[in-house]
Amino acid sequence: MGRESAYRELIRRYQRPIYSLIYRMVRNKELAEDLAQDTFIKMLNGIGSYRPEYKFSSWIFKIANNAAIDHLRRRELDTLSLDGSPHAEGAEAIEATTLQIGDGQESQLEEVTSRELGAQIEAAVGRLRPEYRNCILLRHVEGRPYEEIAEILDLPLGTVKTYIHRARNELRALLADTREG
Amino acid sequence: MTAPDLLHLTADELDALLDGTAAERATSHLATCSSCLAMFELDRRLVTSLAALPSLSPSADFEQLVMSRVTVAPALVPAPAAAPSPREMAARRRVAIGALLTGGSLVAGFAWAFANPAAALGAVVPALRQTGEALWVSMQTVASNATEQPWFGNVTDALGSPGKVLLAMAAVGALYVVVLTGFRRLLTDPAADARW
Repeated sequence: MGRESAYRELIRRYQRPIYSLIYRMVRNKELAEDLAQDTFIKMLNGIGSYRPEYKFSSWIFKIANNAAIDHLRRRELDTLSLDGSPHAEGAEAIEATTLQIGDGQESQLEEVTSRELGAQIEAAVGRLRPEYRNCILLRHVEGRPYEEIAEILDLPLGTVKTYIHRARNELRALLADTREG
Repeated sequence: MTAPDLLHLTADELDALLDGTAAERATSHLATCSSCLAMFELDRRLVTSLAALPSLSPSADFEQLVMSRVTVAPALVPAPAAAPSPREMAARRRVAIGALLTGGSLVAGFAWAFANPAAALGAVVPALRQTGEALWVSMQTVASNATEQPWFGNVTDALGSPGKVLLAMAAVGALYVVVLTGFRRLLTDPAADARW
C-alpha cells in the first residue's frame, strides 16, 4: 500500500505541469489528457529504470515531451489551436480565441481576434515550430533552467539557447502582428 | 563613448538581463541604447506574460484513471529466514563443540608453553628435528626413484641448457593460462543474450 500512495502522490504533484505542457504542445484537451495519462503510466510502470543521478522532474518531462512530439510527428498535425484558448470559458470565448482555418487552397491561417493577452500568447505559442515550442514552454512557463531543458530534450545547451532566442523573436513578431491586426 | 558601448546586446546578455544576472556592460549599454532597451522591454513583457500563463488541470478523475492502468507491484519485503531443521541444528552443534574443543586446546597449549618455556622447548625441538629428518629422507627417496626411471635421461637432455629451461617454463606458463581461462569460462554464467 505504501507504493500505491507514493504513486498517487507523484501523480498529484506532477499532473498539472505535465498536462499543461502536453496541452500546449498538442492544443487538444482530450488528446492532451490521453497523452498525459500515457506519460504517467509509462513513468510509473518504468519507475525501476529511473536513475537517481538525474532530476526526477527532468525524467518525467522528458517522457511527456517525447509523448507529445511522437504524436505530432505521427499525425503530422498542424498544431495550431482548433479548440480555442484553454482559458476560454463558454462557447463565445472559445469561438473568439479559436484559430480559423481559411478556405483557400493554401489553407492560410488567420489571426486570433481575442484581445486577451493570455489567449494571444497561447495562440502565438501554438504557432511556433514544435522544437521551439517545447523549449519556450519549459523555459518560461515551467521555469526550467537551460541545462535541465537540454537534458530533457537531449539537445546541446547551445541549441536550446538558440531555439529559445528564436522562439522569443517569433513570438514578438506574432504578437506585434496580432496587435496591429 | 567607447567602442564596446556601440555593440548591441547579445542574446546571452539579454537573457542575463531577464534573469537579473547581467554584467555591468549590459546594464550600462541598456541605459544608452534605445534599440536594445526596446528589445529588452519587449522580451521582459513577453517572459512575464509567459510565466503568468496558468497551470492547467486535467479531468478530476485523472489520478484514478492512471492508477487503474498502472501495475502496482507489492513492496519488496525480505522473506523470513526458514527455521533450521533438527538435522542442521545437530550439525551446527557438532561444529560448535569441535571448534570449542580445538580453540580451547590451542589456548591451553599456548598458556602452558608460556608458563613452562624450558619444558616446551625440550619437547618441541627434538620433535621438529625428527620431522625435518623424516622430510629429508622422503625427498631423497623420491629423488633416487626418479633418477632411476627410464624417462629421466630424456628430461635432463630436454632441459640441458638455460634456454631450454626458459622455453619449458614458458610452455608451462602458457598451459596454465589456457587451463585457467577455460575454467573461468566454464564457471561463468552465460550472458542473457548468449546464442548458445
